[in-house]
Amino acid sequence: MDYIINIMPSLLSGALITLKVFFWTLIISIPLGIILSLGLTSKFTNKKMLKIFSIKQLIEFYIWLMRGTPLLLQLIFVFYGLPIIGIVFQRYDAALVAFSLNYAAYFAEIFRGGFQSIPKSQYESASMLGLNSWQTTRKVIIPQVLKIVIPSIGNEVINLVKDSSLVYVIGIGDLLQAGNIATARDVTLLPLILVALIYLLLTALCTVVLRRIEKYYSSWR
Amino acid sequence: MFRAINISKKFNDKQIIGNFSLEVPNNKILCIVGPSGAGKSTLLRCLTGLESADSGEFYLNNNKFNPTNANDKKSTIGLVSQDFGLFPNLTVMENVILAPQLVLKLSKEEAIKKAKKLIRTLNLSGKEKLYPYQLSGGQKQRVAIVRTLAMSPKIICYDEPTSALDPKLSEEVGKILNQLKSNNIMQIVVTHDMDFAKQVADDIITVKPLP
Repeated sequence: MDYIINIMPSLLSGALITLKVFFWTLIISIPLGIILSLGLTSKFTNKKMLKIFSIKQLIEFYIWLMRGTPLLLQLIFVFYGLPIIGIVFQRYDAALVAFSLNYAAYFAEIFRGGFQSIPKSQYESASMLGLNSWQTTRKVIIPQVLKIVIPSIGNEVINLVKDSSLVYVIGIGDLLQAGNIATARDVTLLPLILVALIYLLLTALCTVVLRRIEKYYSSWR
Repeated sequence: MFRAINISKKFNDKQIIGNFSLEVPNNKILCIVGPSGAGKSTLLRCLTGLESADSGEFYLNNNKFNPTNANDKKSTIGLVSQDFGLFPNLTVMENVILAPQLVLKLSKEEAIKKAKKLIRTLNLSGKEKLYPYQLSGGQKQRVAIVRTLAMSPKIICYDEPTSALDPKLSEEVGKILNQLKSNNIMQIVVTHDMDFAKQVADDIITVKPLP
């Protein structure tokens, strides 16, 4: 018990880093994903720029790149690769950039599916009532899309809790890193068991919050 | 009086509507009837600006207007679509007051006051807090009509208003349409239901598929 009390502060400080990466990635990547998905579904982004490519094609390329390469590689590239062309990030900022860009691509695809499942008649009704595109999107479409995508978003949110452990590769001391250090130093698996329990606690918390959100949206069909 | 003159519309080189004209006097109901594929719905979509007509002109009380222009359309023309087009994420009251608040810039209190009056008129009192999925087909239809009326349009169009209703409810909708024949509102009904057309129409136009 004494040993657990002893290593807990370092594990909790690692968990705080995990939570910070998790929280800020969601705050940045969800709105970015929505904007990208609007770009994917809008007819205005089909227009070719300089007669070469359209904004839609650019977004599709970005999503292909982000989903087609490992997040670990992207982290390494942002922190170690970008400085070659003069773009330098601090460790924590590099982690946020890589995570946000990667997760925004997944969220964009999820939201695209959501937007495409809204019947055309909803847009037409809003147009007949005189609502402009922004009012229609904000008041009518986004709430319906959110209800549709919440289960898929939930999957990604749970994944993000666990993926955040990848930040070790650029030298950030997160929860898993703290557990690894204690295990190597004290030659016991107990720290890693505690790490697993903390991850489970975090994902359980996410699940509860997601269920609450699903319940909130279940008042209508 | 609403007049549409020489409306034409093609889709992929197939002529759907060819030089079609109609007029609806104030406080009158015009029914457009015809078989499936005759272009009734396309005509209605052109009249309401959801499709732009390839040619033709529209006049409201002798003033030319363009239904595809959002400003021209505002408080001029309303549509009660076949599937009602209610917003499932909003309650009956929210469905009704959304556009008056955002488009007509009414305060929430004013919008609610207006909505309550219309809701009472169309016999929907007590349903204000329900979501569309909690309503029957007939109730949804009436909410769609209330929502359109809340924008004070001069012309109301209905696309197959009885297609989802049983004969009794169809008759009720017919009564509501007749009840609305006031305040200089013009109503255009597209339907394949001849009995309903006979019940409500002041004038009937029959359309046939173009060769």
